[in-house]
Amino acid sequence: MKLKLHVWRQPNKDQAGAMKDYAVEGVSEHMSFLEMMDTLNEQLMNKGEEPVAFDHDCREGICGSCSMVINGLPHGGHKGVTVCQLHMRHFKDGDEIFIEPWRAKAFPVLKDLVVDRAAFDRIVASGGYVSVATGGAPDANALPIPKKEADLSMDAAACIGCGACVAACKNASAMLFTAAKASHLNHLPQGQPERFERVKNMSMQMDAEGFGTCTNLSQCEAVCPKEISVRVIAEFNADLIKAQVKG
Amino acid sequence: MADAMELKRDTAGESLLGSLTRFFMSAVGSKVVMAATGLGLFLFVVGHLAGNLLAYVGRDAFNAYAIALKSNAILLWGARSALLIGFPLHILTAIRTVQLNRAARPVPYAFDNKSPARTAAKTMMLSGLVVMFYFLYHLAHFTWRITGPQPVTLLPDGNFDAYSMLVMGFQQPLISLIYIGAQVLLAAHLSHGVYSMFQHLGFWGTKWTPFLKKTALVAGYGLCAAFASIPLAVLLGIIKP
Repeated sequence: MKLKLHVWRQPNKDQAGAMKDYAVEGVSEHMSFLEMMDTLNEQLMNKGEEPVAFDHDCREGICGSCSMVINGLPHGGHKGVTVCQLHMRHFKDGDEIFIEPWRAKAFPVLKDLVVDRAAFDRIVASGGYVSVATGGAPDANALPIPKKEADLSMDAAACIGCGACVAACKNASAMLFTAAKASHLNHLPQGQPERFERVKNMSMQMDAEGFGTCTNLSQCEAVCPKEISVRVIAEFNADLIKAQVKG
Repeated sequence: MADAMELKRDTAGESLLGSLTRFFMSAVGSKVVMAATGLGLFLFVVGHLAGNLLAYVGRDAFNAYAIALKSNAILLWGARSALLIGFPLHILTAIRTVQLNRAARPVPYAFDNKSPARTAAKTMMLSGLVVMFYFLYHLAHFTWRITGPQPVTLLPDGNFDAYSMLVMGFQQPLISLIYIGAQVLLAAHLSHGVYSMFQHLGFWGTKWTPFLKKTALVAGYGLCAAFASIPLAVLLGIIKP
């Protein structure tokens, strides 16, 4: 099939960018969206033009690298999929597709569709860890954890840090990411001693990065490729309130 | 080594006041302020409605309530403090968070953001702004008595005839329309706010949260339908002069 693309092109961090139109041919419905982008880049290179820069790595939905807003929806808006898992069978011949990078002050565009997500790394570095040495993998059930708690922790730990939550949020808030990175530790015994210091530090870092505030629209939950619930945000809020009382 | 890795807060050792100020200025803390003041204002609205519905009982019941409210210092200042503290904090925090949110996305999307969300939830600032102007008009009408038709005579005991004020006001279709219109926007505001405040305050449950979302819809639109029924009842002649 043949598609009409509108792609954000920006030469580097300091220069202004703009949407540019491209026609891409020979797209198969069996391709993934990233393979369609590869096809476009091959066609551009054959014409001697600069290919479109975009982040990608595992191409199986677990690394969190790919990051495109497709027709107004991060990762294309299909339930539980990243851009690399998005198939071209969802599009038809002649479709127009708008492809943009994540838009947030805290995620500056480095080139074309590539954004700098180091703000997420700094949030994790501020408290998204336990400082006790946990050693090697322990024997199964050596440390009993109720199934319910383990599930809540695992659901939050599914976060791949892609940043779709920020991209989707009307306010470019990073609450879903930050809260998920606290929740997966705060549901385990190892996370308890530093529970309140963790949420305070992570909240402060999140603000310092220039993300917006949460207005409970749940747009993040709707587009999260790992379907993480806004439950983690309520937990994060509750822990921060408790942290004030505990000093 | 282990000591160097220990999770320590930069602000450890700051005063209680300093730490609370820092919290209430943070992204999460400002939402706690929004939720707490929102809860206060919501409770005020519920109490206000209970009083208004006495208009259906009759002139004497409604006027007795109006006089009781004015003469009972605890009731009056309880309601007034909900407004005097709640409103400015709610509005100032809203302005501040909207500024933060706008600054957080300096370059807009070329294609509209299609991530799903309820329209009422996305337009809280707009509905809130309209409700604020309506609130000022409402004060001018019923509290300061500088707009709308006002009864010329006082009650025999020297008090204002609140019942006549209400009926005379709502007999004007334009005034009724303003009141009913504002109720629709207040309903939209509450239909998100009543759920959202629980989320901000950290309440979440697999059964509790969907229930709260429905409750917010029912409470928001239900309360405002009850409010709006009064001007309608006056126009239809159910509440008589």
